[in-house]
Amino acid sequence: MAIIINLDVMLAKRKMSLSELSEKVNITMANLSILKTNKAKAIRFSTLESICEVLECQPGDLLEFKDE
Amino acid sequence: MKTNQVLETAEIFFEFLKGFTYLGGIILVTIIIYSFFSPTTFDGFYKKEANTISYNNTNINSQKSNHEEFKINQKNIHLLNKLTPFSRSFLLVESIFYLTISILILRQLNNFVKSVKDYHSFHSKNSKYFTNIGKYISYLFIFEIIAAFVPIVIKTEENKYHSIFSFDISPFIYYIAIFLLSYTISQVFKEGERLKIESELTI
Repeated sequence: MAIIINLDVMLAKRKMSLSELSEKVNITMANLSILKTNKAKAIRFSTLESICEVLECQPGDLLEFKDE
Repeated sequence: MKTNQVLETAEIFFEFLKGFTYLGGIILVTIIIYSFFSPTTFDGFYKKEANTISYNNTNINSQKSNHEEFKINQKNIHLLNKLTPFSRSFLLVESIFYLTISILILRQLNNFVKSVKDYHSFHSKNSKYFTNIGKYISYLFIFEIIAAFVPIVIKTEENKYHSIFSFDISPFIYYIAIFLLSYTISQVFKEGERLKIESELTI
């Protein structure tokens, strides 16, 4: 069981680069990269909120539950 | 910062203790080895209980004392040069073993203090240091059990051999307590490390 973050999918849909998102949400590239590669252990509501705001999406569009 | 001063003092203290143990070890081993070649040189040295060597400049055998404590202790005192070569060899092995374990434990403690001083309190190594201390204590425990079955053999003046078994339960209790404490602290640091990683990977 795992929670997958579909950040790369949303970025592709919005035709936005990771560095662009990094600038807009004020999160370092390193942290966004951790998030994108599913290495993150947790995500703050504030982070999720700012990503959703910039990408104009719902948390459900970013997060997905996968039964391994 | 006050904490850093304490840590620096701890680091110096452990370094000093390590040096002192090295020096004491060299002296002790030299005395035991020398006693093989020249038993009469160290008339004042005696073996007390299971694992200590002390020095008394008076002749214990001829000393007459009314002091109650000395009378009780006298039962466990054996002059080093009265021990048989086997007992002296075992004493040598015992001393080297205890000193090695002491140095290894001090090294682990010193590394731990250094790590805390460098703000790496929840590094994976810290958990390992305490696991190692627990491991060394378990070796001591096993060695003490073996040592309890090895008698101290004394050659009496009538050229007779006299075997004495000495067994003291108190070190075993301390060993078990230190062993369990080390493993508990090790688990605390393991959990701390897990929480640290989790906090670092929280975006």
